[in-house]
Amino acid sequence: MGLFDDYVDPQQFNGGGGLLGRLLALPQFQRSFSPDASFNSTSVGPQTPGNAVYAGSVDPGPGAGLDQAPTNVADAANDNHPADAQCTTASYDCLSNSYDNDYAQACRKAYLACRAGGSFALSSGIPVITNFPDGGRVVLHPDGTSQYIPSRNPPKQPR
Amino acid sequence: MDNHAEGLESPPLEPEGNVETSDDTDFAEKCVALVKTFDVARNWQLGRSLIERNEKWGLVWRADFSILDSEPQFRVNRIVCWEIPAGKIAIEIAIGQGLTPLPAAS
Repeated sequence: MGLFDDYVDPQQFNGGGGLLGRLLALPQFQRSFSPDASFNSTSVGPQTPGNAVYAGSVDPGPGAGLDQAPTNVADAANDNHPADAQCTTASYDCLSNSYDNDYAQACRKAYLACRAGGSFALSSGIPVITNFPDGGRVVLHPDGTSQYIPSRNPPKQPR
Repeated sequence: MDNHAEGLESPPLEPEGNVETSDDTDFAEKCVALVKTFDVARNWQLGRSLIERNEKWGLVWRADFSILDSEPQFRVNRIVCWEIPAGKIAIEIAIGQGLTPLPAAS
């Protein structure tokens, strides 16, 4: 079953939240999932739900319940959520901004580097920033805290 | 480009033109050694690097790298390594960026 088999009018999201925000707003996606590390770079978004807990257990922050779509996914999955969740969010946004296979491949590589950066920061005591191709950035601190800063101006396809 | 990340400021990905020509090998070697401890870095091939010093950041080491199991990319992958307070180092890994490749060593 394709990820977008049932078309949803994007107008209901008021243009906010990125790809992940739109997915989280849909009842059928308000459950645990994570991108497969081997997801196909030719398609946008996760291929199959995984075992890692994300949407179902991450506290989206004050004022935003699981039954209410966050107006900005960065507010819902920004500070100090698990590093893997931050990397996942960043990769989803990156893929939603990608416009060719080269770009999408780079999003995937950045996701892997981001996850490695999280482990590295914890073990080495060195903070690591992963900068995704769309300009989104994940900051991973040695104390386990983290921030995801979405891109304000993702690169557009050259004309 | 403003590279301020909440909780951790970072130097720009592009060099600022204050190339260091001496007293830099220890810092560069330290950065290279750190990068090599990344799990995914075993698939990275470091290329051109550049070290700078400026008033705000102190020593900043930048290196472009390619990812060995990837198709040739038309984007730049770059590592930035810089000093932070208390004598520590921070690292930024930028993948698939629209940057100008670092110049060859003069």
